[in-house]
Amino acid sequence: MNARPPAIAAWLLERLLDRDSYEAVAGDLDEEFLHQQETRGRSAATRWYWKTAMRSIVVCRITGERRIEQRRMDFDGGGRASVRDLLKPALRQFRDYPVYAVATAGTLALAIGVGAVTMTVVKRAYLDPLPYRDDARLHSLLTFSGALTSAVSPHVLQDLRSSPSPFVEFAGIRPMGFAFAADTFTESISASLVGSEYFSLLGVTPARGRLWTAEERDAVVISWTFWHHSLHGDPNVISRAITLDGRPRTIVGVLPEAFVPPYFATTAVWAPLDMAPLMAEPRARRTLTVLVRRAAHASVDDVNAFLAIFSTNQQQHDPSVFGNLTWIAPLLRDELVGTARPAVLGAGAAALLLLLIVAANIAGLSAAHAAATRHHVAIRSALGATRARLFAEHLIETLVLTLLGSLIGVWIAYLLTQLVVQYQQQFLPRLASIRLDWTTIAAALAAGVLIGLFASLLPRRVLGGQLSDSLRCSRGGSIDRRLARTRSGLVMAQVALALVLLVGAGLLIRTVQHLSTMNLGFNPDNLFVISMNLPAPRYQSNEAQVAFERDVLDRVSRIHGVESATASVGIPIVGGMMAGLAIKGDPAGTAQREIAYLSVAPNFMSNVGATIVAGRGLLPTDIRSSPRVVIINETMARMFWPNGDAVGSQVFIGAGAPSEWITVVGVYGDIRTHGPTEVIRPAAFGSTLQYSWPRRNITVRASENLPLTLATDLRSAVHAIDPAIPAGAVQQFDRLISERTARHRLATIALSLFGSLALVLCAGGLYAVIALASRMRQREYAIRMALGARARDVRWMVFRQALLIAGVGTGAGLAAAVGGTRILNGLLHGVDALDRTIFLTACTVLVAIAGLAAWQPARLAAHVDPVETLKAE
Amino acid sequence: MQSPLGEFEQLVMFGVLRLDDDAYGATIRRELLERAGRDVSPGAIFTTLERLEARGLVTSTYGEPTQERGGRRKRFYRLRPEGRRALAASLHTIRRMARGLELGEERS
Repeated sequence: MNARPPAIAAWLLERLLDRDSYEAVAGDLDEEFLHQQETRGRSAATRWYWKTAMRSIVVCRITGERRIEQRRMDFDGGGRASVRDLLKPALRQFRDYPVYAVATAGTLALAIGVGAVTMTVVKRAYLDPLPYRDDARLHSLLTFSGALTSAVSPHVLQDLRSSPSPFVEFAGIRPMGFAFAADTFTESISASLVGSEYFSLLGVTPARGRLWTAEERDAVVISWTFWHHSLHGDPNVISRAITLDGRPRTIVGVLPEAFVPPYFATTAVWAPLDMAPLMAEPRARRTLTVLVRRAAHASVDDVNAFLAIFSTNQQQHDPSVFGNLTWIAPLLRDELVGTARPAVLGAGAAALLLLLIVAANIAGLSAAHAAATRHHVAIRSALGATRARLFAEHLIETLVLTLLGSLIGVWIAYLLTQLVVQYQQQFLPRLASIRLDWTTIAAALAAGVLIGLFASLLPRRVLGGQLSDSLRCSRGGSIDRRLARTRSGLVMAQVALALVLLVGAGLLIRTVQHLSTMNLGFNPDNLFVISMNLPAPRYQSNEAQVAFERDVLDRVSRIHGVESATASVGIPIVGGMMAGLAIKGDPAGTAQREIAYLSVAPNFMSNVGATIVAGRGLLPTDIRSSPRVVIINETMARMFWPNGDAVGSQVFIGAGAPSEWITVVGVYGDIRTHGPTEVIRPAAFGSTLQYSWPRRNITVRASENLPLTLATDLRSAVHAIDPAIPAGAVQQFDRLISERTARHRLATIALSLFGSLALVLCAGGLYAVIALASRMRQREYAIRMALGARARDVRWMVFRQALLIAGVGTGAGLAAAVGGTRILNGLLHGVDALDRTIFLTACTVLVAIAGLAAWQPARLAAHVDPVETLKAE
Repeated sequence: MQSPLGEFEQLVMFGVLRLDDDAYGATIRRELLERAGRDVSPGAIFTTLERLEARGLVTSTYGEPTQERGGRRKRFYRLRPEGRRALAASLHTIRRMARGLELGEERS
């Protein structure tokens, strides 16, 4: 018999069926083929054979897969499924699609981790109440002159107390430095002189011991840190006698470990404040930091209205002292955390953007996964699995994944929080300790699961029931196109969001750059400062202070590694004190102006690297017996002598009526006395040789290779001159400055981190979409190449698609960024919120990323072999 | 409780029952074509029988290889008692549901 079934069809049968099916099916086909050939002729039989063989293959392949499924999942057609039954397929999914599982859980974990930390910081800094009693009614009372705020005169506080006001509690705080005679060393500690109402105002009670009574003038309350570090946790700390500034004091209480005072956070000792000597000082001296509590019935508006009247009264009562001043009482909360607002808001917004990007990414992953598993789903549903059952399985699968991702996220958040805590001091106003609390953990988990569920279920809804009909869809069918469109849309959204992040990061990086290269008016490199208080009564006189200064500079200059040394009272960056200013020749009734006043050694300006603009500097010959002179900064000269005739003018600096005229002998370039981000205040510098206080800051310029012993050597030098003088910590100017710019760096770090994460996610998303799309279009490429298109043309087609997605995303992102960067306005310095270079760079980066992502798919597409591809089709 | 038989499963099982000792893929196919007017592929019959066998409703044995099958063996099927019961139950259900209903004249 010459009748043989068509060889190719038979070969296909053998290739595509398993052994059992092949034997039975091919046997039946052969048998029937003979029969057909006899009755209907060879060609009809051949046609029949082809058709029936192909149908058999399809049926057997599908059912074959089903058989494997059945063996694997004990699938019951419609019975009730336990959670276990539903969990099993989920776990199998993770095993079969590990990339999907890891990518989904991983991105979610990252987002949740970063989000939870940001939320913790924002919550602690903004949303949580301050750790003081009824903090919504706590205000800080400030003297306000033009643009600057400062402390309050004790006289003003007394006036306020004795007049009917919307305030019910007052607490004046006088910050001090104390010399604490420790066992071997004299330690410099910070102290606050306060009335006992201070503690009740803040609602703090000692953890050990008690507060002092009105009679106990020598009693002190100490901080937990001081107890543990300086007193080594002495169990008999209560009633222990210590010596502060040569005066014996008794410890009566220790404040709780968690207590952080709103101002002067490092305070170690609180001692009773004696108002009498303060009241003996001139009215103009503003020595008290004042906290007040608003009455329960009063509103913030009442406070403002009252203070407006109060200010007018004070101005009229004492025009020469208070003519230019008003008093304001911002909420303590705004005063403490207000300045960090843009940084925290920026970081929060960035975290939110990142979450959105991650949501889009997960949605993309889920869409791809849905496409990959749709065959499986279709078979299951064809075999009777109900939609509810399939949905339940998918839901469980997603839940497990997102829960897992969120848990890892919380763990990441925990690690990151540890890191933030280490640097907290530099970034944020010191408030309650930052830690991950249960509310945040619960919120993070809930957010993670919600985002995960939403992002992974949504695309399946969009793609809809088509997925289950997909058995009928061939490759490159409508479902694939729709899938590709959905994913392109998601990637465009990611690109847009990433652009906003990048622009924000760029603006902040530029700001930090600007701040770090800004001309501070002096050279902070290798500049160190050590501060000390000169104990009374020995250093009460100016002669004693000058003698000490001479001795200490002499010793310090000889320390190895010290290039030069100078002294001052008050230092740039940390700031001097505020003082009143009168100019000789002022018309009568002119209100006093406000300037910053520092007392410096004659060589101070040249040592810190300030530049002289006019006149001369302070000289060693400007001593107490010669006429008093000052030098002033450019801002002061410009402000009060707009005609440029400052040098030679006579001024009075201090409180009250002019008593001693001082000659302005020189003008120096501005030194940013209050940090690189602040407005420059008018400042005058007198000579320590003529007038000063019993305090010194010794500023030292060290050589390039810093000796490690510098700090010890400096302390020893001071100790050698007078062991009773406590030398504080050695501070580095660079660090003082960087502390002042820390907030910008926090926001910069956050945005850069989030921006890079966003870029990686975008690149991944773009790559996946382009790769999928170019695989789907392979046949088109093949046909084009067969018709003469060059590899270059095909490559360009792939790139064009990537660029299209990036372009649309970038366009949308630009619009969002223009509006969104406004949030950062308060943080930006030296850069426009709409800086063109930065916007352009961000766009370029994203487009370049798109190009990179398309690289490999483009290469593959260009290497398509038209013959092979079309044959395979 | 066994899930009920599908219509195609019932038809295949009737075919097996009718053909008695000669029930294998090709004959069942012809039976379905002649009696039920269904032109189905051997693949569909094979996979259905596989499924029925997995559910314990039919058994199969291999016959000798034959020339006309290209040297392949026939695979003969028989109903197991469970299969008969399931088929009877299905039929019974249909009869009960149809009892007293007028569905129009049956085409012969």
